[in-house]
Amino acid sequence: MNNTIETVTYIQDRLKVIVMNKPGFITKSALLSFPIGGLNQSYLKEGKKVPFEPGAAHFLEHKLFEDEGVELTDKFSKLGASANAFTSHTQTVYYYKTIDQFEENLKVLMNLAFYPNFTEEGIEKERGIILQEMASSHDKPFYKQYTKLMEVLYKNHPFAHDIIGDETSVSNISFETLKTIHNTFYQPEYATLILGGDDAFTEALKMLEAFPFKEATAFKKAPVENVLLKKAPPKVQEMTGDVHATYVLTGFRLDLTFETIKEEYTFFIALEMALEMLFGSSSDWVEEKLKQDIITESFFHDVHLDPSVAFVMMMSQTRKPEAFLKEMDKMTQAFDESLFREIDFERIKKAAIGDYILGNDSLNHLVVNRAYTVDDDITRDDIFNIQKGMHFEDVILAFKTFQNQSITSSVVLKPKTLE
Amino acid sequence: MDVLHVKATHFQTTQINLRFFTSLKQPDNTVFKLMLAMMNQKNQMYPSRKAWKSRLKSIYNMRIGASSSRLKDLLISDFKMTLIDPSLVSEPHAYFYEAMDQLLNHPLFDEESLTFEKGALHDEFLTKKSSKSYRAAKILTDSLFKDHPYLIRTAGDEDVIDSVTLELIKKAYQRLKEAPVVMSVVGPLDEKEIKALIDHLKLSPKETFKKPGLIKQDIPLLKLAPVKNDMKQLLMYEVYQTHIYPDEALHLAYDIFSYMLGGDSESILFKTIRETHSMAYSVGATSLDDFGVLLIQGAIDPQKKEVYKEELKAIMNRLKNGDFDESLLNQAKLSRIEEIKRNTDNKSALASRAMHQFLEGWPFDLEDLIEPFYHITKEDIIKVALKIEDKGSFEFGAVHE
Repeated sequence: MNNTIETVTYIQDRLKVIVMNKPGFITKSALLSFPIGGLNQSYLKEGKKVPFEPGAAHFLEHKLFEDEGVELTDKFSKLGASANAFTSHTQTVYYYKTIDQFEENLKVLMNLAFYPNFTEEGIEKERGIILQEMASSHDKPFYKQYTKLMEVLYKNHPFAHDIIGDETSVSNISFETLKTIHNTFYQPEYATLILGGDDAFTEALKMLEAFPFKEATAFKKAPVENVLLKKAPPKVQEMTGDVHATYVLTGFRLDLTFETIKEEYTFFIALEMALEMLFGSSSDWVEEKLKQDIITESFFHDVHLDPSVAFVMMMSQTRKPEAFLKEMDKMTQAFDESLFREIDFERIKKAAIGDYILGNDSLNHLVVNRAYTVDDDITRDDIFNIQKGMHFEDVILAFKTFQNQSITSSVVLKPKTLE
Repeated sequence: MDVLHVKATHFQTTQINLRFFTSLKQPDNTVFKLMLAMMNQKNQMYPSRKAWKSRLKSIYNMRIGASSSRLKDLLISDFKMTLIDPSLVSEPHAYFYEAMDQLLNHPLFDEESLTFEKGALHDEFLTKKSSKSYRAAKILTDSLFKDHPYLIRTAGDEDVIDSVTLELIKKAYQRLKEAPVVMSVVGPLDEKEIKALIDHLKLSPKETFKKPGLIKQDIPLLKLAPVKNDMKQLLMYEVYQTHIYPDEALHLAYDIFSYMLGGDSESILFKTIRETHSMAYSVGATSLDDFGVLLIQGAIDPQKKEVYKEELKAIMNRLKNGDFDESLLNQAKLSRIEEIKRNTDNKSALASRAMHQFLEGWPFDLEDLIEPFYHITKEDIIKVALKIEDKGSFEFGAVHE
């Protein structure tokens, strides 16, 4: 079903390289991932934890595209490639796609990541741009609603901070900070390079074997602070914003530990399947709540999983926020096994097969998707096999755990009263 | 019926679009929007939302649905299906064709469904209006194009929703069934199966497709007062009449011009406004080709408004005077060409290429498509720049008195 062949190799016994051979596609892609994101706010120096400002990972991502005042995206463009980058909660990713001159572009990517050349002057300029990026987010009421929810669900935890930081933290990020976190996290031992396309990438691998990696530094990455409060967050908060309807966003935090990564993924895949059965577009619940005008077509649910952070989110535009909140409350109360039917379970499994096949048709999707799980060493095929092999009882158990263990909070966003 | 077939065996799924063409006028835009929404929810064999969605999930989460868009003064009702290669799941093709048949040929129009979709469309407008950029763009386009025949929005008109009746919906459906239809197929599906699908769907349009002409109408000078809103940023829109339309020889040069100006991270706007002056995180250029209009939009630091406006004026003057390095042009051409090449790996882009060939006679073959770009010269870019006429600007957001 998947005609992509994946092989893993280590360059100079340091850099992990995943080759995804995808026949028939003329585009080739390279993606370099580093394990630093919004959750990382400290490094280890001689065994001691040294904190740095929230938003530093994202700031560094911006700066790596500078080469002594010149934008490196120009170099990629001149070589016929399209390049970009992003920072998530757990990683920073740099990638390009191209048809020709793959190795030349790869050289640019490797130098960008391992031999940065940004300047102090460039940092000041970038600070202004990032503050504008921040202003743009702050002008969006849904962003504010989401942030407010995370601030209470993950109080004291790095996840409560925006990936790009805040005005104070971004204003305090220095040239030295960026240099230090680069020395810490941008080491080949921590990185993963993914090469995708209709190629064995023999020339690229040869080039990488000769790449002059720097010696390992004395700095080490620190584990993410897991300082979740045991105290329950407020059940409901209200806020107003420049919106024309009421929207309720509910988060269900899950603080669970697992023996192995596979166990963790199996649980959350089972939970996703349970939620899809109960609250997906083909569920009785959605049909009923639409008829009762408690939700609208905007209703969605989502499962978010990162190291030390796992939650379920549900949101809807609603004319009956109290009724919606009651429904969210019911989620974590009495378990009703009759809601789970094998026929729905089989349907969800078939849907997963279709999604998997559809995903095979996009090289970008395959490569970026692979990047999300590099640190856990779980492939897309592993996830698909877990879905295929899932048992009905596992799904019910996952939902029971969700019900028993969730810590819940909601934010109700209402329109500002017109003056 | 016209069938545009792009056989591409490196994909595992086939994208099929059935595009029906009717005239775009009010209140049809709203009626069709509601009609298609009703068709997406249920049909005679699956007479509830739940039943229909369950069916789609059980056939491997088949992506299938209808939406509307505009082609000049025509309304396109686009029925799109993504078909998994049935051999991968050991199912016959007919298994999937049945779903398309139900969606297209066996709608279930009733008052309950119409009432629901009216409510859903009202909700959709409420959410759109909760976006500042949507509100700003609506105020701007309502003003610029108020007398333009292309302004009619396929998303519908909010003030018309409640007046739509079941009778109008059923009449619209009749018009749809008789309308000219163009089918595009991109993926591994072969000719024999395409014929089987057409037979299964019993498509028999009464009219043949006639390519629409382009109505060229200048926009007025923009006279819009700034709209103050409680925001940190100021949304700035600069409006230009290009006097260059898609059916004109200079349009290809204009394509490169707008890419040079605001296409990507190597564009003039990105380099100047964002990277040099740090005035904005987001700045770019949008071409409204059918209107002969170019928009430059930026979400900027309100303190830098005057500098921003001066800089834009300076950029346009440099382009008109030829005061730019030819390397900028060469880079834009290269990037655009490479982008077109990479689209060979994208089904939607290939479907779009096939439609452009059918509608405008553009080449489909990759080499023929990119060849003319190599011949665009600096003089062509200057010619484009000299035709561009400033029509004013609009501000929304952190407006300072």
